[in-house]
Amino acid sequence: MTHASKAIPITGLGCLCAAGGTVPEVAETLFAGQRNVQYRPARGHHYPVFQLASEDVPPGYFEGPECERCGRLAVTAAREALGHAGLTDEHLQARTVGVCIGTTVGSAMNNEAFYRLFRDGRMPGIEPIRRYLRTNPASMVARAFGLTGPCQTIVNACSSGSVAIGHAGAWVKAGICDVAIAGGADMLCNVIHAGFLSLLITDSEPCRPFDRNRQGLNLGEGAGVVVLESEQSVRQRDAVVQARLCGYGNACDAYHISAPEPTGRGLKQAIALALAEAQIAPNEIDFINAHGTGTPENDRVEGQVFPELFPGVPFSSTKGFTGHTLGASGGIEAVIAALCLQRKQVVANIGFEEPDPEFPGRPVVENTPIRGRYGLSDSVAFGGNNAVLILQEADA
Amino acid sequence: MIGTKLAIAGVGLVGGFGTGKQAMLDVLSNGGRPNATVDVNGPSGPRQLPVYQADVDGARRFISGGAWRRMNRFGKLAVLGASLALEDAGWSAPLDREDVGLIVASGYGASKSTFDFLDSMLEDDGRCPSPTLFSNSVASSAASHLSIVLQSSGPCLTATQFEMSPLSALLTASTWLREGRVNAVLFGAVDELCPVLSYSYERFFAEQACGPIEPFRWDKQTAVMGEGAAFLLLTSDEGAGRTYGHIDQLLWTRSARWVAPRDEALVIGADGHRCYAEQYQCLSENHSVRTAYTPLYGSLPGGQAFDLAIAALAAKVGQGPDRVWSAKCDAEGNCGVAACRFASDRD
Amino acid sequence: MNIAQKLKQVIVEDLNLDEVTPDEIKDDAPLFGEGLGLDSLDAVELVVVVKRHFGVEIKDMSEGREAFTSINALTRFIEEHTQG
Repeated sequence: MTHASKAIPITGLGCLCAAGGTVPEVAETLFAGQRNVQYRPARGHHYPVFQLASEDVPPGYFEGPECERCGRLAVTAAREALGHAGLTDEHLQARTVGVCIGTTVGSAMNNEAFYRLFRDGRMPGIEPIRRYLRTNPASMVARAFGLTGPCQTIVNACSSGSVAIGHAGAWVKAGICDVAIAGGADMLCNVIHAGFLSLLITDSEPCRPFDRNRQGLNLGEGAGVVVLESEQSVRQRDAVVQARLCGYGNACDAYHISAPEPTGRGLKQAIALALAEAQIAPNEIDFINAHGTGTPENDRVEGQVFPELFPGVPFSSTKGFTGHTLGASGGIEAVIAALCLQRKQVVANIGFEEPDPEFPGRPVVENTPIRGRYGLSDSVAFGGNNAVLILQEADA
Repeated sequence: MIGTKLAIAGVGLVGGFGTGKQAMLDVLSNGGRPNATVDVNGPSGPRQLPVYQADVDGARRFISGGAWRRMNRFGKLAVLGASLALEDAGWSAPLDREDVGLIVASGYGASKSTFDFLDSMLEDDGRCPSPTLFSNSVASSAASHLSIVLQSSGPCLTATQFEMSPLSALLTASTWLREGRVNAVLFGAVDELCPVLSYSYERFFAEQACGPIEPFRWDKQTAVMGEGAAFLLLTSDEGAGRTYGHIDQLLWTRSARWVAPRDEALVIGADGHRCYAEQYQCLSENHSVRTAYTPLYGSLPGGQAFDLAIAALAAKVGQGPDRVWSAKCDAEGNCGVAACRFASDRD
Repeated sequence: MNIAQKLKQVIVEDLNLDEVTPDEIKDDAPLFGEGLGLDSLDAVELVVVVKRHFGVEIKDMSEGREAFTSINALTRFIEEHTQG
């Protein structure tokens, strides 16, 4: 199987999450090693969550319906990314612009208030349904910027954001669109929180990726978006390239609906595919942004796979700063990976103190200088979908 | 518009018309109609609404007992449609392959499972939400179940873009095949009935939700709820085996801008929803050869996958044209177009 | 109905085990892996089953692992943790 090998320019980055309301703020928080944890009540306890700071919440966010919020987060991140890319309304109207957004909550009709009334036979009004039909996240982004290219909302659980970026890259490469806005958006939600609590994979403390005593994940919210652009479009407007997407791999464990395959075969397959597309060897990867949720199973798999395939390559999870933002995580972490390439520095894996003897992998505990040519970001999804992105520095 | 060549090697369908190709060919000859009713309670009192309801029992032969007990009905619909498409193509399952992509397009996703999980969350004062129901409530659950049943480790995607889900998914299938990322794509649409959907139809449309579906009636609401799965096995060329033909163009456009080629058959996805009537009227009114297959399977967002499957089947047995343009519109004014060149058994 | 009998019934019902009846579940047979063949998702579902039907909370899977070895072990756990 052969793959096309041309790297796709990334011209804009946008991000908001617990670590900050913009990309520069997120960068500052991460490289300063600062953790912004809040606590939310659930089932008689208080659980750490990574929610947006009040000042970073987009205007109108809490006034509007809840089902609109993932889309609003996506629009906010897209606005920052388009601004960063220098793409004006005029540029956008003159180009075919696609939108590819990964999400979990943004696609689900899980309006608790509506459903309580419905199941009690109280015949709720149908405005929530009407709104749900109008708040598809990719459609909201397209509407916000007057875009008429293809839209796709992707629901691949925790790999959604990475998959969205990978697919959008393929659309640009195939000439389906000149520009693509791609990433992920998700919000904190009681229903989802209840679900993860029921699986007994959450931590009642701030999460500890790869740590021996890790108990599970903390949920987070936010959006992370990149602008992918064809070389022709970049040349036409003399745009500045921030990084390049040079490899994407996607593979399934085909193992279990909720547990990762213990040898990491799906993750290894996705890594191999991404490396093949990038046409680089494993030893050319300078760092890895791990999925690193802090669950016993996920971190064990990555903690085995990374040292096996990438001996000596620094890796870290940034979920200690963002929480697990589900469908947004791949998008947010692609932005973080691009920042690490630009700064030639990997962010420390906050929350890690004691190594786990069950696997050889040890994340970096300090911000670590790197050569900064290639970075890998992986997302390992519930249900066994593995997505891997390889980014390349802008001036390769 | 992108030129492509997605050969259709196999077709699998399940819905209110029954299970499999022959069931669809029977309603194609004799006409389709709702096969069940659901009870719904609205401000006007209780009512029974007709629906096109699928039977998932046919999926049992493809799913082991251990997997069956855990799988949601949404997943069973997907496995049934996909397995029938593989069977039709002469492929055996499990696949045990890395080079087949799986794409599930859905309008409403695993909504019924979401509400089942909400039930478990709201009962017992919220103390006992079910992790199994939660695992099934994510829209990606069908694709996950499919990858496990088929033992397919290739790329996998779930797209939820309401009526544009199938077309957006086909764009991705096309890029996967063109890049050589896969050698085949099992692509399908799955949508499922649930009580909240029935309630929505009752509240939005009341007695007008009783149909029958009149796709070319622009002044009236005539949609009738449907569910099911329609899958196509797509490959990049027609190879040595006989296929149904291929999809050769895909277009994401605006309904107001697209004009169908005048002398070629047009299949529109109009399914009786009045809010889309103007768009479908605009693109089909002066067209000489036009049809709509929605009365055969019902109103559901993933309908374009059904339209393509039915058009392929119809052409194969000489009951439909071999050059077809399929068009589906959404609430944003988008129109997804797929052009097909089919083969018949006479060729 | 004693605890063991009720456990078998709710396990069959709530885990959708349609290929086995409550009477066919042996009290000392393994529940996971061999025997009944339950897996990790069944384990967390079983935590919910025990809470829902017996009011007993299993806080995490290290506590659950011991209790879930067999019907007998789970019965003992419920008896030890039931008030009154």
